[in-house]
Amino acid sequence: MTSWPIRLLTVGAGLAVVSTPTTAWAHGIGERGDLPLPLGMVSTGAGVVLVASFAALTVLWPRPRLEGAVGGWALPDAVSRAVGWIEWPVRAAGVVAFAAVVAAAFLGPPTTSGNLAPVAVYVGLWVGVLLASAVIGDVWHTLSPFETAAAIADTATGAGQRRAETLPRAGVWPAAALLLGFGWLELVHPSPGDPLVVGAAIVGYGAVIAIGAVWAGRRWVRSAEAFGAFFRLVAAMAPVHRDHDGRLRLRPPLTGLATLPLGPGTTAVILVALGLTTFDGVSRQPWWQTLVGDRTGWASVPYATLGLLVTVAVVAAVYLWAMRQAARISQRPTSELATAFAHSLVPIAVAYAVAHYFSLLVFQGQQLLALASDPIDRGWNLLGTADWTINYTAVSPTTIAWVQIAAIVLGHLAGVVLAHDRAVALFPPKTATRSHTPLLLAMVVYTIAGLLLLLAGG
Amino acid sequence: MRRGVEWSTSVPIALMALVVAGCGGGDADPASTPTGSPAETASPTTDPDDGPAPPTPTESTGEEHADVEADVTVEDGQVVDGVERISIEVGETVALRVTSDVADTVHVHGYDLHASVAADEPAVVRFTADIPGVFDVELEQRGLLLAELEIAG
Repeated sequence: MTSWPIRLLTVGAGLAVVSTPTTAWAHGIGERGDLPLPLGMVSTGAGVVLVASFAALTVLWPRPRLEGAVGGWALPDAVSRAVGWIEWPVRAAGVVAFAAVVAAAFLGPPTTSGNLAPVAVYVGLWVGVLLASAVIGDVWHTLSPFETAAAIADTATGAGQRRAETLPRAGVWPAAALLLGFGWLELVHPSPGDPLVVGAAIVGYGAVIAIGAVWAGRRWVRSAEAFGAFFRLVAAMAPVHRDHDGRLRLRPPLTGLATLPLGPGTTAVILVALGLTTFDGVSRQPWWQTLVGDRTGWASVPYATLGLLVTVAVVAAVYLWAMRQAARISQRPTSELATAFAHSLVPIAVAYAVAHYFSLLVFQGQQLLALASDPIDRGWNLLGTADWTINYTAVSPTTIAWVQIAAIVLGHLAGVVLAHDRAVALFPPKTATRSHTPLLLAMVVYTIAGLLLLLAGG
Repeated sequence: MRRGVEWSTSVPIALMALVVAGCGGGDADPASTPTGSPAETASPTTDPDDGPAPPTPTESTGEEHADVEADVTVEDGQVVDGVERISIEVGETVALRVTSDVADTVHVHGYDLHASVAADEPAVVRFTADIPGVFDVELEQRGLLLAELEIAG
């Protein structure tokens, strides 16, 4: 193994610590940024991560255990039935919410902080549904207006309850591309919070999905709907899932990832998601501001676009380097291993999202509830929350800091466990440890980088 | 090597991580929660939404000394001497003076304070920093970042 990851880390850490904050990336959404994490906390977190990772190599089990645990326990029939009853009301609610958001985008107040649409997309969907997927299960499958439309179309054309299990040959590569597009909108576009920009993006995105679905069938929704593709992966972490007979089952958290159906593009979706949240952190760093200079507005877009692509590329390169090393040691194709281990990055991607967006959810989430009462600014009070103002003291900075550190550390540990389990499943005992040590190192790189990014505040 | 069942993956590792992290991170914790909801102690100036408002500088003689005073100057579409991150402790009073060669509105995010500024009329925003966090101050119409307020304590 080369030491260039270590060198890279040292340089990055040096830059992060030495440069003084100049400007912050003015994000379109969110009125408040997190305070920088105290160095003591970050060091402790890093220490835990390093110790645990390398201890895991000797301590963890020699035979794969997670796949056998996925079956879990069936929930009582009554529970499954009850959930079945609320499926269509929840689908209807999802469609109504979608309509309200689109209406708000075009008919509501033109300001970022007064309009439901930007908050609903960047906070409600990208953070709220993401976390709900990790904790509860695949909620987006029911909430998504695209899935609902596809389900209705299936029923109307008599295709019945056939679940679109097979994907086109492109797998979820279209979803990975659209997810990157969403990241570009959120992080690069000069005014991502402008309700009209959000509205146009929703309409454009919806058109891509709808036209493709008309042309290629419901499989297109599974293949191209970016949030669905990513949230499906995240939902594999959750304890509740539906088995092939449609019954609800309870399983230990994370074990679902061990039997995640992997196909073309799955790795890309995970790496893009990880790259997006990494770039979110990068764009708030002082050294990034020094690189970009004083450019604002559209002048900054070429640089920010490049930054986003480079960040995703670096994240991918770290993983593929690890897979290349594993391939050399285990004499297997790199691409096969890259697909086989991609699931172990999902907890890390979710952890990054929690670390960067938890406070956004807590504070701007309140705003979401307030704005939902009056989407098109007619003086309504549908939910009784129209008078709410954001309570910025609902959660203390200390709590936020702990959540951030805990998320990153736990996400890392989960990734280590998943990678280990897959390694002992795939490789003969002699080479199992050596083969996945590069991946372990890659995860350490991701986690330490994630912690360093939080040193400048999130 | 030890064997274990699957639940032993998530739970003990999580506990271990939290215990070790808890023992070590005691220094330099951010402030504890300030009590109460954000107080409306800002002195917002003219309403910026009604077009060119009559200039009303908010300075008055006999004002109190603020705990933190900061000056930002905007010239030619850029902030002179770069954008600063101003450190403030929770509870301190802040007086932020913005001088600009163009007319615009100064907006303090989070606290949601607005002040009109014009070529010959500097704006002063006064408030008590009771919400912790990092907040942007920007020239609203141009989207120009003026300063960052890092309020901790």
